[in-house]
Amino acid sequence: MKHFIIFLTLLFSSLTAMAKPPHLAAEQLFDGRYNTEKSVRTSISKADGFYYRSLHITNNPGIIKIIETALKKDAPRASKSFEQEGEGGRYTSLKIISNGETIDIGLQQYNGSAFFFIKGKEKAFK
Amino acid sequence: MKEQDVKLTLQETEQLCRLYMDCRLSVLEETELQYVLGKLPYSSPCIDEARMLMGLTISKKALKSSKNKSIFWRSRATISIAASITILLIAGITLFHNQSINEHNPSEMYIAYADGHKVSQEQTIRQVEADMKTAEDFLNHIEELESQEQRMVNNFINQISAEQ
Repeated sequence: MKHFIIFLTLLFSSLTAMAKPPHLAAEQLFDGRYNTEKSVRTSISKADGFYYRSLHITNNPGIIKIIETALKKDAPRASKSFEQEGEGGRYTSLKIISNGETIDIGLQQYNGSAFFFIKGKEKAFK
Repeated sequence: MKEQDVKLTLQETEQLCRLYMDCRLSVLEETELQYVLGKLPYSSPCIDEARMLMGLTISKKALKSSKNKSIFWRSRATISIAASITILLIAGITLFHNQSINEHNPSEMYIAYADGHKVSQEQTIRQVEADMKTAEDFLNHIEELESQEQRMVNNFINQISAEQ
């Protein structure tokens, strides 16, 4: 009985340890703080096991700066990152592995506006 | 003989009692068995019969220790069973809760805000799908840019190698 209890305890602890939310700085931006912001368009979807969230920012450099800071915080955790300034504006892309799945984070900045998104399988965010 | 010296198992004691009742023990062995039965807390029909024949009653101390031991084991077993049931219940409730969450959450969920307001359901799906498409295009574009960069790096390396 004692062994059984120890086994169950270990099983639960390992399961808890296995699935850990990534706690990304980029994710924190979707806590509803921009829902009433006129210059921001928010889109969130959860479908077919995929989780998608994005912000469209129109002429609001303050918010863009906040997003940039969040991406800088998450950058060290990225398995792959890409940054380029070109014709379409400035592109920043991060790929972060969480719970064995890839989370894609992207930011496109153009003419004082920006498109920012974070997406991946639901499992990656749990 | 000290109490600690008596280390007979229940089976061994029963065997000795059977031998006693079959009159196959020597006087010395009978005396020893009598001593042992007076000390040991064991109880079984065979042992009790032997005790009765010997005119013995189980010592209060032995009885008490046996009772204590059995209470201890019983309470330990009860705690273990209760703990296991609790763990299983928690696991069950968690699984059920997760399942009910999944049932309450439809497989598809769309939320959208624009101009500081929540967007109507129909418009929400359109907006989210359009934004998801933009994200897809973004990722494809990044892939293209990365391969372009890679090609440029390769060309550069090839050029350097050719010059050397």
